[in-house]
Amino acid sequence: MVTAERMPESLIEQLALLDDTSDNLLGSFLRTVSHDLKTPLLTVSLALELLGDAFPADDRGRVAREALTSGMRDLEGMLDAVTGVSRARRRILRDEPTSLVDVLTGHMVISDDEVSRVLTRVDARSVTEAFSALSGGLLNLRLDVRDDSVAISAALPEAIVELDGSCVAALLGSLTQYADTPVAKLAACEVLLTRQGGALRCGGGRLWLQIPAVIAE
Amino acid sequence: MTSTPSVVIVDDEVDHALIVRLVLHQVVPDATVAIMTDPRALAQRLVETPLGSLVLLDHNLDGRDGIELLPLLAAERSDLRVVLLSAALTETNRLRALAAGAYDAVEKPSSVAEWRSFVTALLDMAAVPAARSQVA
Repeated sequence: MVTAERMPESLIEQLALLDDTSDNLLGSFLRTVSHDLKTPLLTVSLALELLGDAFPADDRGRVAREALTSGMRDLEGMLDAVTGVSRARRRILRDEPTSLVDVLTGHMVISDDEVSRVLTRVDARSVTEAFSALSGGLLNLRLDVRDDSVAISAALPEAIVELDGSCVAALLGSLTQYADTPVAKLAACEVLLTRQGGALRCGGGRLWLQIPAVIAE
Repeated sequence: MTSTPSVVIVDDEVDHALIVRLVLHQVVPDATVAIMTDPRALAQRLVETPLGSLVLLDHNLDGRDGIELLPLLAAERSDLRVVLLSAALTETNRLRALAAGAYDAVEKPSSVAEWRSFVTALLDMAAVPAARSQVA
């Protein structure tokens, strides 16, 4: 069995390079898909609207037009979901520590740990946007403060309560199923957190965030 | 000087440009709208464009970055208000476009209603001279 330890250094470097290349290619692909498909979609969408104004439809025409509009809406939703992931890969992140208390403001927190001195080491938007994806209002959050990180969990909405594992994998595995659900926004947050050494997963009916953090002296 | 608004659409996607022209005519019926689908030598080709025209410049022009054309346009025709339009605009590219001289940089409106508010906010109805619609 070949292990990383036994591989020649040059081969490891080549593999790392290959990994970087495929990651860059994936980034380019996502960017191209999200940009290049949008223009023809916009064209069809506008043309459809103009046709509706120009030719009042009979029943068949109305059904056909509604089907087209609905199909366009689905396509736009799927494209927006891919765009969200693509942008999360490139977003410029703020790297100044943020008080955990500030990040959690507006939500109900259940924790045995002292949180007032905890500083998160991620762009706070990576976390607050995940909360917003779950609910526009107050969430009941469970908290576990560890030496170098904070684990936060919240209940998943009913529509995705069965989701298990990575939101990015779920979304890219089935745009049809997940594009217009909170999974699309959670996938973007997963990308953001992963870039900063954190993690986002679903399981057991809950969303789990792991956020790098330090305790202020 | 007349009150007829003049708009130039610079977009290599001909179908999109034609549809946008229809939308513009629906939103601003008396606007004169020219379409340029070839970004090469754009500044020179805009020589006869009326003073103060609104230019809707696509971000991705046949593989060329529309933002790179902005300084050239500003140098040749500083009177034009050039708005960069992109199907998917990032904040970085928006800032690049503004720094390069764009009047504004936004995502392409996706409905007639969005075009209406976008165009009416941009057009200075009184200050733009007339030209005839044409496809270059």
